[in-house]
Amino acid sequence: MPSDSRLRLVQELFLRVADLPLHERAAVLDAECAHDPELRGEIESLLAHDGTDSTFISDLIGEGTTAVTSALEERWIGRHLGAWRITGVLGRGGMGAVYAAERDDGAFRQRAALKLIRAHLDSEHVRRRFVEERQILAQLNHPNIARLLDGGETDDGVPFLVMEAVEGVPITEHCASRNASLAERLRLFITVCHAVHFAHTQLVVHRDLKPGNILVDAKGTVKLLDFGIAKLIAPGASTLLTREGELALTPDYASPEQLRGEPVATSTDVYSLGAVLFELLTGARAHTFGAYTLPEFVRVICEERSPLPSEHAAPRVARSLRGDLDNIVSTALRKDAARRYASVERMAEDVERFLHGHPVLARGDAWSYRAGKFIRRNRAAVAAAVLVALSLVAGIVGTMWQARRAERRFQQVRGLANTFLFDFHDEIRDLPGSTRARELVVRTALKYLDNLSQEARNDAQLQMELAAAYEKVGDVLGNPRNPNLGRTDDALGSYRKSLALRETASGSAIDDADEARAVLQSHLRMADILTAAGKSDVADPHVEQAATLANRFGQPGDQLEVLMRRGDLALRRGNIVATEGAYRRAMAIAVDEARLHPGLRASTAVAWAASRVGHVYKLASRQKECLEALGIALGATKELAAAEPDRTSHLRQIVTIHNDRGDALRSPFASEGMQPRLSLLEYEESLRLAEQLAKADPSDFSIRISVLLAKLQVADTWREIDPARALPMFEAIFDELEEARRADPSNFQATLFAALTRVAYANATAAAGDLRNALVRHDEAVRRITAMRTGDRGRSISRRDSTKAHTDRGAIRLALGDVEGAADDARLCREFASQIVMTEGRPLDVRDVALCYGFSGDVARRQGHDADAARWYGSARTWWNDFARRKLDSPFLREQLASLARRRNALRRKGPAE
Amino acid sequence: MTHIDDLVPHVYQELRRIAVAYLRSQRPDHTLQPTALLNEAYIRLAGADDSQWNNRTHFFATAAAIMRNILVDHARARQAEKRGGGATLISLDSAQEQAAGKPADLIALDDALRALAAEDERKARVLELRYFAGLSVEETAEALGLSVATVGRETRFATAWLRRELSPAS
Repeated sequence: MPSDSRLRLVQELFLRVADLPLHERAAVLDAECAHDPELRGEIESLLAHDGTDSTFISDLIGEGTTAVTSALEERWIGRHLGAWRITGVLGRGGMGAVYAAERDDGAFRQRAALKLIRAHLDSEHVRRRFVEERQILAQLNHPNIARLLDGGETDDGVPFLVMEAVEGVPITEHCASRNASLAERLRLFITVCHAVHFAHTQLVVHRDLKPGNILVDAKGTVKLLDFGIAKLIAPGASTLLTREGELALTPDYASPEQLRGEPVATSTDVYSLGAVLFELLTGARAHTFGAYTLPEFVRVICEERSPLPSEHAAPRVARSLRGDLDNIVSTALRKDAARRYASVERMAEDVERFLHGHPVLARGDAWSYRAGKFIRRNRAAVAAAVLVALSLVAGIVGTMWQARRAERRFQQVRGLANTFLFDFHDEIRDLPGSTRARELVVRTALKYLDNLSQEARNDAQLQMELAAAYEKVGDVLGNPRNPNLGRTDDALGSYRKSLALRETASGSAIDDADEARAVLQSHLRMADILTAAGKSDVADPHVEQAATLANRFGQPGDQLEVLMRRGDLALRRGNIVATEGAYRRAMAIAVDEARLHPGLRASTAVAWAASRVGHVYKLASRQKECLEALGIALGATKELAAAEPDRTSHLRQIVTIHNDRGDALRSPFASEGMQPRLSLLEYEESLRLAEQLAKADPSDFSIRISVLLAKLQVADTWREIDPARALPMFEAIFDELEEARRADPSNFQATLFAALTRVAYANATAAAGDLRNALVRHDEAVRRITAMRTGDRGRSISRRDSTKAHTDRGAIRLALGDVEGAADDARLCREFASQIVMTEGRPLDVRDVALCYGFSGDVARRQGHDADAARWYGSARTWWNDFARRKLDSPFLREQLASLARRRNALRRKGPAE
Repeated sequence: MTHIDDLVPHVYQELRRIAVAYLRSQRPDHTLQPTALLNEAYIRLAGADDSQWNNRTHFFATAAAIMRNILVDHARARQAEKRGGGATLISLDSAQEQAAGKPADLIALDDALRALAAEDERKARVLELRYFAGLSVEETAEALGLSVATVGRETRFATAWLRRELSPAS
């Protein structure tokens, strides 16, 4: 049989059986090939290679084509085009190959990107228009737009353009590689919008905006490439399709009008920017094409509903996208060009509004959005609004609960609880007056999640959600860094549960960065709450665990948080050197971050770190550095407060900064001397703002403490200026302090302030000349401080305060002639003084210790124990001289040294005389 | 109407010229198909004067063979480049292994198409038009003056045949 007809026979049989079910196929082959086993083998081997998938053949051909084009491209290297020499291949853009080129005019060298354009300069008319367009583009002069430097034609008529060389990466890549925050991404995007808008004002539409044309260089500068070039190539209506209906540009950012071949306008750029923003927010492309074909592009882009960023982002990110950002993107991505943003500038403004927490123009129907904005307008009605929303949800959930257990319902309840927990809660968190409402919201969500988790113990994701819920409950109850209800012990319980859940869910060896950071957050919360409860020694291990996780998985932000806690704890222990080290490193990280990724979040970190650095310098009595750091902190925080007027945390920060400035200005170690009148101004500002915050949210316990502290400071400063005026001020504070203590007996701060106020009050009484009453009041102060000493909380704090309380009371007793009583106090004050760790101690501690020994010398002198007196005076002198070692010099210190010298002289004169 | 063969040099030159300025790939997971180049070439050559070509399909049928030549020539040149210089001694075992496991390349594809043409030239031509010019079944039928059903049957059988020839196990 000739091979030709043999092949025909094979094909015929092959096609006959190819689509049959296997058993029928076998039957046919049995019958047809009974005497020709070779034919059967041939058919079966071909059937094994049958199939519709021929991609490997087209892949082979595609690779070959690619190889040919790149080989041809490389031949251009070294050639000259006009004044330019091609030095390498940079890449391939939608318009054609891009080469690196160099101009060498002898005098100077210029590097540029040279593009060969796939355009047809067939006629003189087309050529002239090309040159005209080129000239318009060459005049597009904007810092964020790559300049068009030159242009021309190759010998065989291929036009080329020479552009400013930009060394950068696509904006999406830039953000992803730096893990840029949402605010940073939006800021970059706004810059892009401004540049595009500038071009629009010059009547140039880009037509092909996409991440590959929006580059960011190492310094973070945005550069837009290829402005208007699409028009040069295809001056017709659409640039997306060639005359043959084939695709010319990437469809991912193309607008419906481009796909339909309709005229393009500035609204086309709005659409593309919407697609770019979508990708910036989610990391995913706005459109998903089932196939890479034109009909599919048309279907998806012109017909399918525009996607919402929050539907395509990771759950954590999705929360911040839902609402405003979803609305902004979908407004830009509207199919009908007339319904998009009227201009790119309008779009940029909306993004800006979102960044500042103002309502955006783009609107969707997300209820949490409306609820959030409503609450902002009606602060007094917060609780009522939340109750209404809660009862509504409780109704829905209740109904579902009865229906029960169907997986879908399970997911619905879960989704609802999470919406409450994250969308709604986060929306209202920093609003003044929302603390109670937050508790309601979070507790309700927690209840549902808790029920769900009973049903699905093995669902690790659900356990993580539950952990997040417990964390939020803890935050509302007692997170000292946020508005809270002042229920420290309950908060501790919630945080413990959250940590345990996260540790269980993430298993013994944490290797997932997200999980690690969740556990890290839990440890930080534990450290905070334990510190607030006065148990800073058990807070340490949590900070160290967090530090380990931050080193392995953390970002600079996490490192910063850990350093802050380390500083705080070192501070509690009175270790000024360690505190300063930690805070300064934190500030350095914050400043670096702010330079790399400027934005609200970075400014917040700088403001925070600067305020802590200022605080530690205050304690170290380095007044100049202190006021400098606090000045930075105050400026940054005020700006933040203006940018985010609804966030109370900035105002709270300002309250603290003013308080610290007041302290610094009346420091006894200030070289210029104390300036109590200036201090007063700072404290009064601190008080004014704190009262404003307290009024807005009466249930926020931490701000109540700030109000009390500010009042205490004002009164104490008046003690220095005019003691008689200070007395009624102190008296006015007592009731409020007692109320605060009753409200949260486990909160150490309230107890501490109550005791310290009594010491200051007694001293003011003495300064006003009423020694008898001063003694009574000192007795009360000593009683309170002694009570504070029981239990391990605050032992280190009470050491200093005990030293001072006994010294001050003893001085009054001595003045009143109670030498025995004074001797008791002297003995006690020395006992406590000896327990203070002096090597790293605060100047104020050193002062109190020196005063204690000076007083002890006075008592011994009165008792006639001259040798003891000389010894105590010697100790006092040693401690006062310690200030010289610390390079501190002030009128107060000079006065104390002079006073001590007089008393020692008196002792010496008396000594030999007797 | 100019005879097609007279235009071959123009087509060839045009294809190379387009390739120089052509994007290699529109997205990373998408390799450039010669169809895109051919489209471009057709627009340029036909753009000014449609009379040179009686239709697009006609052009593509001609260009498919040219495209195949360009690609295979380039692949051969590269292979020669790689082999150039000292040939390495390899053991028989590993040589067999290499031959067996080697993924098919363009040269193998070309050889297989030649072998197919030796048995049935029309089948090879159908595949050439389908894969190297990216023509649809209908366009191929038109270009070769066959029925659509015939082209469909030929394509299916010849593709299986080609895949078998190129499969590493055979």
